[in-house]
Formats: sequence, structure tokens, C-alpha cells
Amino acid sequence: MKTSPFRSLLLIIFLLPSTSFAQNFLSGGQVHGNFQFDGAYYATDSKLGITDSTLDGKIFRMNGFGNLIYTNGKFEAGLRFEAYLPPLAGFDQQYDGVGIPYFYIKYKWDNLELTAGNFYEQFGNGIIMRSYEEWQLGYDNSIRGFRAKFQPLDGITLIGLIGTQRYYWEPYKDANRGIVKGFDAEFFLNEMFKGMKDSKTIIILGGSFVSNYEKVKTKNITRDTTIYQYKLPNNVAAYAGRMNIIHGNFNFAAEYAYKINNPSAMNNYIYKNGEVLFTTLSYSRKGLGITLSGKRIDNMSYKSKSSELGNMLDINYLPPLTKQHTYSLATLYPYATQPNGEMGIQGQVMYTIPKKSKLGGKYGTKIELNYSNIYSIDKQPVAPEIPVDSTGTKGYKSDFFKLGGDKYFEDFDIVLTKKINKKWKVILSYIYQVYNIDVIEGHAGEPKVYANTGIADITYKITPTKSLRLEYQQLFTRQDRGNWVMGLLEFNIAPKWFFTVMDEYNYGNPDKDKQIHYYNANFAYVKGPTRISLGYGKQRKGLLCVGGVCRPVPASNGFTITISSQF
Amino acid sequence: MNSIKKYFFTIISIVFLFYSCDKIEEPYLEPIGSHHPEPGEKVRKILLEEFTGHTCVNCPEGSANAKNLKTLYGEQLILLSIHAGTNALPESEPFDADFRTVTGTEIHDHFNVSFYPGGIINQTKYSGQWTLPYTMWQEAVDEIINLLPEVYITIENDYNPSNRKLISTLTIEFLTDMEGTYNLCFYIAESGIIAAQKNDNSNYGPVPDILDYEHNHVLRTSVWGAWGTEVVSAGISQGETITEYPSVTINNNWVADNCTVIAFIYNTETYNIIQAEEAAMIE
Repeated sequence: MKTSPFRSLLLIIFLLPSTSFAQNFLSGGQVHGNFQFDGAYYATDSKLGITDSTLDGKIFRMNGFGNLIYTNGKFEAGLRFEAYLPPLAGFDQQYDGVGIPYFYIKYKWDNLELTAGNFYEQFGNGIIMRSYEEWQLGYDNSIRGFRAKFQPLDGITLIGLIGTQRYYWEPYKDANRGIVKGFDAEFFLNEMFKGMKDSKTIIILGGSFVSNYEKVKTKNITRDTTIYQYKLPNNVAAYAGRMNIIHGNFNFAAEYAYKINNPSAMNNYIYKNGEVLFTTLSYSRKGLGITLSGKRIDNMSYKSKSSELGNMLDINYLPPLTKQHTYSLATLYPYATQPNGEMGIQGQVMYTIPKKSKLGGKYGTKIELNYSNIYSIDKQPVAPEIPVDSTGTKGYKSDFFKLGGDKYFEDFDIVLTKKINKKWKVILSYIYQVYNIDVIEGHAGEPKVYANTGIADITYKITPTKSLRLEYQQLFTRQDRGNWVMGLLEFNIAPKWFFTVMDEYNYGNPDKDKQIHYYNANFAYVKGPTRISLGYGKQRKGLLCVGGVCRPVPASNGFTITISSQF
Repeated sequence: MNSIKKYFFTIISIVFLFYSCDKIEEPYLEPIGSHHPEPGEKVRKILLEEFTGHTCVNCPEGSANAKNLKTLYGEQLILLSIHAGTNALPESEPFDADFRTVTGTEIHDHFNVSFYPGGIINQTKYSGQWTLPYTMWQEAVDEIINLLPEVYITIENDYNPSNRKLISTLTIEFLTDMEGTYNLCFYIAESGIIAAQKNDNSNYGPVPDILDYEHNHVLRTSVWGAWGTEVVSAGISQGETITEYPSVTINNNWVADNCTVIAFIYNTETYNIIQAEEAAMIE
């Protein structure tokens, strides 16, 4: 065990106000939980470059967790056990180990809720504060400390928190990372003011403040023969203001955040302030939904340790303006948010052609359109002789409304969902993507990828419980690894059995030795909340992204097993 | 309305309580001079093992960072570039060079290096990790560089160009009483090797390929393998001295004038290096 959580938990329990023990601790209590085990047996594959040397004897790997939550009236306590023995390929190997990284107790009075231990929190859209966990990514930036939520009056919610973030299994000690403090206030005006109670316009305002204290280590640089020391801030603060106005079918939301000088490894130790503007306008009525969004990110990586690179210790979260695709070839080129600067728009339309109309047919037809376009931001030198992004300088000047010259990502896709009759259902998709592989994956100098993908997803219901699903996907591109084709056949015996065979074939790879079939066979058994799935096959290398946060996935070959359940 | 006002002021007060920030004014860099030790001064010398590869696009930036630290710490920091892992695999021209070594791969695998450029400072964990990104190398060096030395190593090299044989004399002087078991390692490194290197940062050379990249401090071989030879089996007293005479024949493809020898002593239980030394093979 990497930490001594039980000792910490006991300490927290004794520090809690005595009122939390006034009730009978055991009567009326409930225990809930869930767990998941992901295991993989890896085999060598010379074509994929997987050898005994790269496997290093670690042919079986696993990630697993178990959550346990105890509730009793207004009291709640919980913990999560995790094991990575060793971590699955593609997950950070610093997770190697077993322990309890997450535990807490929580008590709620009428309008006050206190949490001691670990917690997740988000202020507004998360652009200056979001702690969350994403199992698939191996991402967890939970905060360990104290949090209070207070509702002093109807319509006012205040949140204050203080703590340190999770860093694999490394306990907080000797100022090895920062202490995060945050405060958020949200005002639901229609509840606060009697005169607005019956208003057709709903207004919610909010503001947040976050500050990170890090006892920064000395950092020096040599220029010519002189040694210079960076003047580094120990306290880095950010604030944000947001509004949400809802009127009839319209909903407008905007949030702006500002961060003070935060020289860090992520921005090459420049001293420019950071900014984010995030806006969304949406319209919805039965059968139609339209969303338009825009954002500008400028130097907004915000971590509780200034020397940290990668995904750990993020204090904030920068929401993506790109669609999260689910079909496998459509996920080949996912977008990773660029915290050092990006500017983009997204438009989404969802329309259902009504039932019994000429185009809608008996069951109606659903059409989804999505368009995203992300660019770099404008960056101009702070002085003629200083290159943009030079360390130990302000970094650059930027015109707020001007796009940079580099396209990072573009995605246009249309999805048609049509139930033809009781037996047949068809989903057709077309996706056009422009992918800056240099910026997103760090493949220096490689040209942008222009990809066209077509997908047909056809379901045939044999009987009320048995169905057959066929997926055919085709991706065309002249760049990167060239063309792909994918076929999948899934046989379902609802609600318990699922059998799938699939093959992704990179037939267009310019390197003939890499024209590989990535075949897979899987089956899953589901009983109540329990699901067991077994698979065998090959995994192509790539990026796995959830919400614009990504981790690299290496090529692999072998068996996989997943068991999950809840109680 | 009064209660709203009251809470409004409470909120503002809380904000001021939480809100703290340090606004840094220009100039952001402050000259501090140099702190190199006096010649002959017995100080702790640190080994930075940099794991790299010619297809690692971030590695030129990592190496530039290491070079910067070398300028900063002078003789107190010894650099060793270990080409190992998938980024070091030879590929088609111009990336057909193979700088991998059995010793380097063994060290790489032992410390489970999973990213590049990754550096291990004195084979000592820092912030719970063996391998550190280059952004953390300096703070890890700073953590130990001013500790008083427990051991001091001197190297004298005798290289015979006619048969390319090197015989070194290593003298290990124990400056304090020591407990435990210690091994001595002896490596050969070569600098000034011109070969292709991938790169994604135009501040460090052409992008995407630097065809005439200068590879420095490249691990070439070891005399006693990756983990060296035992020199202390169960503690040793202050003032004692041990002398070893490693010898090795220098490969014909290596430029002897560009080779250095690196010796270090480490605790076999913790792998922590307690002292290192470097000397040019040909004085």
C-alpha cells in the first residue's frame, strides 16, 4: 500500500464536529459500490514491433478498482481501492502499485455540506477548476483536503475548497506539489429575487477564484556565459465569471477566465497572462436542436506543479469543441485540446424528420450535423529581436480576435439514423476531417491529414431478443498511414450475450510491411449489473481521447478480460 | 435584500482570503553568476543518465537542457546519453545508426524508462520517480548537489593508441564511515558523433530531421557490465582507499580523442550513486 489512508481517515473522523456522531452510526446505513477489473495478456507480434524485449516479461497486466460508499442519512463515507499490477500497456507506468488513493467522509446539515478527504469538483465549465477521474484515460486529479458547500439563501450556492491533487501514488510531502485553494459562488437570480420568480427569462450568474501555492524550486538558465535565475511566482491565481441566460427555447452561456503570470514547463516558462473565453448559444424544440459554440484559449495550462508536463496535476479543464466520435475509424484522428493556444467554433444541428412524413417514413428520420474548426491563435513577438515563446520573456503578444495561421483540426460530419421497419435499422455517417498531426501528436514536420470516412451501421432484428449488427467503415487518406477499411459483425442475444468479430485493415499503408489486419473477437455476458467480456485480437496504435484529453495507445496483441459489477 | 448584501460582503471577504497571487515584473531573469567549485575541491559529483534515441523528436530539446545544466554546474554534473528503447531502434537511412548497448538497455529496462527524453539523476528517486522529464532535472540535481561527499574518485588514464587499449587507475577514497555494499561502475562514452536525429522544435535545429546532429556523451560500453563490480561488501571506514585497474580495448569506430571514461560508485541495495567522476580518455 502506497499511503496510509486508514490512519488519515481515522484522523479525519476524529477531527469532524461531534454532531456527526450524534446519530446511531450503524442503524439505517446503506452500503453501495462498484468495481471493475481490466486484464490483458500480451503476446509478441513482430509486425507490430512487440518483442520479448518490449514486453519485458510483463505479459499479464491489469488495472482494477473498487468503490465502496457508506451512507447513513446525512452522513456519507467512501473509498476507492485501485490496483495496477502492472498497469495496462499505454497507461502511465507510474501507476504501478496497489492502494487506496481516494477516501472521504461527508456530512450535510440543512444548507451546509462538509467533505474531508478526497473529492471531485468543478466550477462552471471547469476552465479554472475541475477535478475529475476518467478511468479509460488513467486520469485522476482528485483533490485531498477540505470542501464546504453552503447555501445561505435560496438561489445562492457557495463552494470553498483547499487541498492537494493526486499524483499517481506519491503522497504530498516536502512541498512536492502545490496547494490548491478555490472559491465559487453561483447566483440563481430567479430564486433570489421575488420579482423574477415567474419570469420567462432565467438568469444564473457565477464567479470563481482559484489560487495555487507552490514552493517553486530554483530554476536557472545560462545565456552566453552568464547564469540567470528565473523569478518564479509561488502563488498563481486565476478567476472566472460566467452567465447563463435561458429564454424560451434559447439558452446562452458564456464564461471568461483570466490567469496571472504562470511560467511553467507547459508554456516554456513564459510570463504572459492566460485567458479563456467560452460561449454557447443553443436552441431546442421538439425534433430540433441547434448549438453554436466558440472558444479562445490563450496560455491556459494551469497545473499545481509548474515543472509538470503531461496530463497529471491539471487544476483546470478546457472543454473541447469537437465531437466525440465512437465508431472506430472515426476515432483514428481525435482532437487533443491545445492549452497553449487555440481558437475555434463548433456548430451542431439535430433534426428529426417527423413520422409519417414523406421523408420521415413510419418511424421518422434523425439527422445530425456537426462542424468544428480549430486554429492556432495569433502570436506576435514581444520585441523584434525576441522569437515568439522565448523562455524567460513575456512570450508573445496576441490579438484577441485574430486567428493564427495554423489549422489544428476540422471536422464535418453528418449522421442519418433511420428505422426502416420493425426488423431493420440503419445508421449512415460521413465524416471529413483535417488533422494537424504535427501539433496534436508531435509528429514533427508531417503533413496535415485529410481524411474522408464513410460508415454504415445496419441492425437486423431476427427475433425480439436476437439481433445481428453489421458495421462497415472506410477511411480514405493520402497522408499518415493511408487508407483503412473495417468490418464488424455483432450477434446479440438480449439481454445476456454479445458476440463480436471485427477486422480493421490498413490496406493503404505506404509501407507494405505495415499493411496489417487488426482482427478482434469478443464476447460479453451480462447478468444484472455484472458484465464479463473476453476478447482476443490486435490493437492498433493511436491516441485515445476523452473530452479533449488524450493518452497514447500502443499497438498490442493478445487476450483481454473485463469484469465489472455494482451493488 | 439586506441579507443578500450581508452575504455579498461575506463572499467578497472569503474571496480575499483565498485569493493570493504573485505578480512578477520584468526583467523575469536575474543574473546570479556562477557557483563552480574550486579546482581540486572534493565535492559531490552527480551523474545524469539521459535516455534518448534518434527518432525521439523531443530529445534535442532534452539534450539542450542537459547541456545547459552542464554549463551551470560544470564538473559537478556528468552527462551520459543512453540510447535505448524503441526510439533508439535503427531504421532506414538516415536513421540507420545503432547507438544501443547491452549495458544501456539493461539500465533502461531495470528502471522501467517509459518516456523520452527521460533522465535519472544519480540513480536516486526524486518526487517518487526514477525517471524524470527534463523539466525536473535541475530541481532534482539541486536537491543533492550540495550534500557533502562521502566518497571521492580520481581517475588516471593510460591509453595506448597502437593497440587502442586503455588501462585506467581508479582511486576511491572514503571520506566517511560507510555501511552496506557498494559497486563500482566504469563506462566509456563518446562525444562529437554526427548522425541524424529527429526534432520537432526549430529552436534546436531543422524540423523534422537534423541530419548532422552532434550526439554527445553517448554510452559506448562498460567494463564490468551495467552494475559494476563489488568494492565494498560490508561497510568501510573513513580514510580507507581502494584502487581498481579497469582495462578495455577501444572500438576502431570510436574516436579516441572524443571518448571519456565515467566511473561511479553506488549502493547495491538502493542503487543510489554516492559519487561519480569523469575524465577524458586522452589527457
